[in-house]
Amino acid sequence: MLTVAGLESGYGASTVLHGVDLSVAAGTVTALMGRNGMGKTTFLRTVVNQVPARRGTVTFKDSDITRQSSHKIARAGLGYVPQGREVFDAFTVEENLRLGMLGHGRGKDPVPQRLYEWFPILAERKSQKAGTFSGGQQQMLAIARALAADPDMLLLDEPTEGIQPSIVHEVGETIARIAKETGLTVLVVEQNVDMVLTVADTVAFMDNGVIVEQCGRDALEADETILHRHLSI
Amino acid sequence: MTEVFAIGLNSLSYILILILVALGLVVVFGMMGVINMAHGELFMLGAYTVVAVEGAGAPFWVAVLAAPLVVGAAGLVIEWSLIRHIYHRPLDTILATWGLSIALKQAAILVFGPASHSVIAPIQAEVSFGAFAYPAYRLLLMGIAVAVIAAVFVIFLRSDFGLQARAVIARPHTAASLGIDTRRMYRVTFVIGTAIAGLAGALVAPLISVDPQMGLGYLIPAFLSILVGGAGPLAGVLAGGGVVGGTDSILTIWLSPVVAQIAVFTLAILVIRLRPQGILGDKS
Repeated sequence: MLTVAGLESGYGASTVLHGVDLSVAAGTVTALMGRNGMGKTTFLRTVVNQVPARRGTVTFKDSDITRQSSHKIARAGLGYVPQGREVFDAFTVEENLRLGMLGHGRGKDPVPQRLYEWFPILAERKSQKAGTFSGGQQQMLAIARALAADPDMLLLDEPTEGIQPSIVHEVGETIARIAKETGLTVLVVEQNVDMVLTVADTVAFMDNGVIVEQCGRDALEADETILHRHLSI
Repeated sequence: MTEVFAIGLNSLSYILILILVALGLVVVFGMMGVINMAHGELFMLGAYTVVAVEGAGAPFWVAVLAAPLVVGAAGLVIEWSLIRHIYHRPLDTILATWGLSIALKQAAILVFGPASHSVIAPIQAEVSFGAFAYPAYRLLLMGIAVAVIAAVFVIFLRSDFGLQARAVIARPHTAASLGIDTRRMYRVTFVIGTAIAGLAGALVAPLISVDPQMGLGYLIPAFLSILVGGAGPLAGVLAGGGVVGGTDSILTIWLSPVVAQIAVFTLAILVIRLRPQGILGDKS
């Protein structure tokens, strides 16, 4: 589904990604872990071309999207939930969800009912402003918004960051359920080990802008030293 | 009594034109952070379109319809050749559009000459309210202005286009990652902003003398209206235009225009000092 080869990017004079190679198979959930500042967010932002790639290629569904503009990448079926959720505070839940569809030329369609089935809280608060939501509710809205246009793959940047521990598990379960029900391919940047064990089939570790190790969830559960090696400071 | 009535209506027509000019400025600034110093010259271009089209023998109303099209087309060229290269760089946009305003003024002098032109109002009739009579054209102008202002509000606050535009204003990257073509939104908004300026210039042409310097006289109060009203919500422009336009036109009755302008500037400074966010703007 998504193949990244030798990807390099950065900001100004500094280089953050030093040649990332990563492949995500269709229908799988991959978690990307690593310490803070190792380039995970920059990696996702480079994939959707919010940060331009300096070298390397990004291939999505067999076409090269390395230098495509962000909105065309989205229209090709690659959804993106940015770090910090970035919901539109001043807009209602329904307007946020409709924005997920308008850019795809689906402004005439109603908001898909299954979004409300996956996230019942959104159905209850359709006409409430997103700015009044808690962090966890905003996260659910951001995920639902990215799913509104029915993407083939979803990039999630730290969906559990800054939300209540009680909701972390719920979000994880829901993502796992959606992936299972729809066959959605997911690449999730995540620090929370419980979350990763709940959703991921495979886990990749990033260190200093390169992928240093990749393993299955089972291997991660069996061998604690993997996590220590890549996440402890 | 009739004098008060006339003053009120004259102020209102000035306020409405000011709001039209300021609306074009504020949608462009709000959307892409472009402070368009050439907005006054686009207004001027609208008035000259009337001069040219009428000069070619077409009736006034055809000229008024042509003005937003001509100026909107000019806006499209300006966006493509200049503005899109400097989005979100406010300081650079001031310099670039200031240069553009000088070029447009010189172009007007080259084509139409430095002297002023006058456009005859298409309707000479007056509407009488008892003992008091008022030019029908001015009333019609106010009606058109109100309709256009309302249309702009509907477009930006009620339509799907407006929802996307406001999303691009709030979070351009996120909007793009939802599939919204931000560049196209910028282009369309810029063309809408310039077309409104062109229409305002055309409508006001019969009331003032059309000359190459006419833009500045509207650009400055329009900027003041935005500052005083608060740039965030569109409604701020209504409040700002009311205060700036109203004060100016009422004071001009008793004071010389220059003293009235000084008073308006002083008032604007006071408002901005006491409420930096504008009359209706929120603190963020």
